[in-house]
Amino acid sequence: MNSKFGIGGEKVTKVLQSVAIIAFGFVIGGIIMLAVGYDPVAAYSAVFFGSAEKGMQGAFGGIFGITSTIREASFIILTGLAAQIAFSAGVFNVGIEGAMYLGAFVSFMCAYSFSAPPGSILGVLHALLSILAAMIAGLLWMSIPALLKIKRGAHEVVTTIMLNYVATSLTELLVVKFFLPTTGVPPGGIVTPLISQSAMIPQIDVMGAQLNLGFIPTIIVAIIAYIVIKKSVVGYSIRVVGSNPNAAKYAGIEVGKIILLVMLAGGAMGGLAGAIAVQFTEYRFDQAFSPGYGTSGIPVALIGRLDVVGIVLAGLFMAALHIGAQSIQPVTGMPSQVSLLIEGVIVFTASMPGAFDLLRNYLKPKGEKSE
Amino acid sequence: MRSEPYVQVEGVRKVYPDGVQALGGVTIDFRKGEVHGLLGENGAGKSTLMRILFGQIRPTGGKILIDGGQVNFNSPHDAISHRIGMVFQHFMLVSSFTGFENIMLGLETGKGFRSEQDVRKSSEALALRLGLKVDLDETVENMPMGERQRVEILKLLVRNVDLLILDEPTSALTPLETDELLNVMKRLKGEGKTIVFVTHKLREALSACDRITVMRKGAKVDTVEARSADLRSLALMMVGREVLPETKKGTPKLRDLLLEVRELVALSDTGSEALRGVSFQIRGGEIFGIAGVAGNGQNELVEVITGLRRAKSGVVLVGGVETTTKSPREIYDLGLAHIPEDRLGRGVVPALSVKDNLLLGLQFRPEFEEHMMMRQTAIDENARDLIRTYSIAATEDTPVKSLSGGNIQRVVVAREFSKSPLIIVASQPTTGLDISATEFVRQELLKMRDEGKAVLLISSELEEVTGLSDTMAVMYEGRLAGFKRPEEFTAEEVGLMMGGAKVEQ
Repeated sequence: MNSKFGIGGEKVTKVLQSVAIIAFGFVIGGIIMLAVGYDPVAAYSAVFFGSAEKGMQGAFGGIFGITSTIREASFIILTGLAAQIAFSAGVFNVGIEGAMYLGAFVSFMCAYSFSAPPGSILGVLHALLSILAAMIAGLLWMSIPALLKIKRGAHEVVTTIMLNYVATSLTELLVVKFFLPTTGVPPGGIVTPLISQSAMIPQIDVMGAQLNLGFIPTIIVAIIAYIVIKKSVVGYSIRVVGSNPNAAKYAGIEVGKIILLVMLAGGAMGGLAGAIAVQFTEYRFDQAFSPGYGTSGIPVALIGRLDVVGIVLAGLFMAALHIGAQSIQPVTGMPSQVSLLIEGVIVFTASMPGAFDLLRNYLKPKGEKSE
Repeated sequence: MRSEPYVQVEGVRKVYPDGVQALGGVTIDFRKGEVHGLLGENGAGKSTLMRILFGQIRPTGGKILIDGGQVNFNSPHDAISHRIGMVFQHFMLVSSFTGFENIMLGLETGKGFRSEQDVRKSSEALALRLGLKVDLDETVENMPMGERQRVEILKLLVRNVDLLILDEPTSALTPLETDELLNVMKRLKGEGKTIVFVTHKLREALSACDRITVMRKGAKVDTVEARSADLRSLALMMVGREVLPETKKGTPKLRDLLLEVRELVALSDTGSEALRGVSFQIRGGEIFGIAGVAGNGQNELVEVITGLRRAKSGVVLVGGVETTTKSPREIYDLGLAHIPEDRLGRGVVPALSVKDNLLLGLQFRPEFEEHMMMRQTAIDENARDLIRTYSIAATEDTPVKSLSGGNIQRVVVAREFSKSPLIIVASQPTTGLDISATEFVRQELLKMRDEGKAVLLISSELEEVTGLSDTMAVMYEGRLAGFKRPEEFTAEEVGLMMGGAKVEQ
């Protein structure tokens, strides 16, 4: 009874800590805005509620704002979960972006190359198989840095960052080489033709706004992640490996396998995010589809304090901030550089408690004892 | 050939913040141009004293005098500027740098600035004069241990050190490299340098030193002239004069052979031979104790038996099944439990709860796992049971890192014994524990023995091994010697074996 309460107490402190630090970030952002000569209250209200007379909805000020925020959140919650499962095992997986690009391209290839009567069982199968192919592509892509780490000890931060460039450049090359000739020189950037209709997941009309259904696979993944991490023996093993790899070996846990598992899982989640971009959102592969969804996963995981529920909330928060920030300029006239700066400051401060949680794990106290 | 004291430590005391007294007022004088041996077991306080002399830790009391004047060291920097330097057992070199770059490190800017040409010239001259064979342009990671050590020595000599502390310098060396080092020490002495030679090896101390100070339990026993000392007297001083304590336990009821180790050879992390043919057998109902100074292969032995390290050759049989190439998990399934020496680094996951730690290594067992999911109710019940049975002062949700050392060890012991093992490997099971926790762990081990389990006890605390074991042996440089009932040993004999002066009768 007492202990249950104690754990609850610890959670409450964490939440309060995070809320306080986020508020602090907003204060710093406000000071910067005052210094540059803009009204922070007006700006923040534009972020969240927009402004009716300027026709902006911010993040939550109307159905268009809300659907945009949900769309954005689906991506970064997914990449946040991918980052979190790696962090839990002490692995710093920065390669979600690359897995996402690979996944998006493979999803496009499957969705474009085949077709079935839309709405038929075959059509549903086509859509699902294209998503699955994207996840497998992300997984296989991530096996490169994972195996390099396990077999050769190459640090994942270095390899995954490098592979991100390989992935984005490779997909760009493929599009330019094979698809641009058919779409022509693009006013809309480096994009492919549309995919077959059978693989398109439709957007739902909600009071005139288009609701992207990407949140459904994201919620499914979040539930699975929650169960795996909190309730399964594999999740227990991941936590042990992340906290003390020596104890893990001692307990008969194969550390290499766990590292492989968390990285591959992250790759599959990245691939899924890619499929959402293609099959749920744009219905084509657009080289510029990601404003950095993959890397945003890391601050999302940190703001969410490496907790599944926290990450869902943090993803919504960051998506709101990102979508809402687009209303600042039209409403207050503040240059977009300043609003980007403010967004950065708030995300950075909000990530701090999570970053310290991680650091504390890495920097174990060393006793002064000798002999 | 009497000479004046050069460096003196006077009444140096060290009490650590947790109240452990490492040194209780030690006074030694080191003379110019002598090789001074510092002999003692683990925990005798040798390293603490030397780290104080090198400015690495601050003493709680007492003083350091150089040529009669008192000095105060706040850092190794201060010590080096007073011409005192130390070569650690684990070398402090940047392994991706060359020998020269390591010597140069810290001299390139600031107060101690010296030009590269100057340092290179003096390094080469010193190396030539003293016969220190070092390839200055070779990367350290490609050097054998002996050469790395010579880089360390050269590094200090270039900084004009006059008193050189060598902490267990021969432990990482091959016999040939050891001979070479002893020659270098002679030449250094010839140049008027003072060398403090920290060791637990009796023969080396006798052959290399002019005078020898023996320490035991944080105090100086005596300083003697090496010429007038012999192996026996040193061994006795090192171990202590008291008679080995009587064992107050019943005669063992021996059962089947449970653990057998045959001709085990294994390498250490640095690639040297840590085990050089170890063999023993333990039956159910018996405690086999291994005494000896830490670092003589005990860790490697435990790791090979528990599957955490691969043997180079030799066989381990657990309950008659060969486990030499099996994984830790497979070995646990055969009924082995392991109380590891490194409690916080290996035995527990400090950030996780008591409950999660009590599950460590048991997570795959069907009573706690069902369709890959954890059976939380069973895990909780098990945790509450063990907390009650082993009087762990915590709730199941307390993170282990907030527990005291004694309670953490209770968690480890509770968990390992709850595996209902046939064999228990206990490595330094009472280090750092208070009296009641120590007594608890020892009683539990005896209980396991009386229940017919085989216990392998490895400890550098001699009283523990003699007090608990039915048969004991002493480990020295990867070999076991002795194999008798503890009461058949004399203190002198154990001391000789621990110092490597008596390998097999």
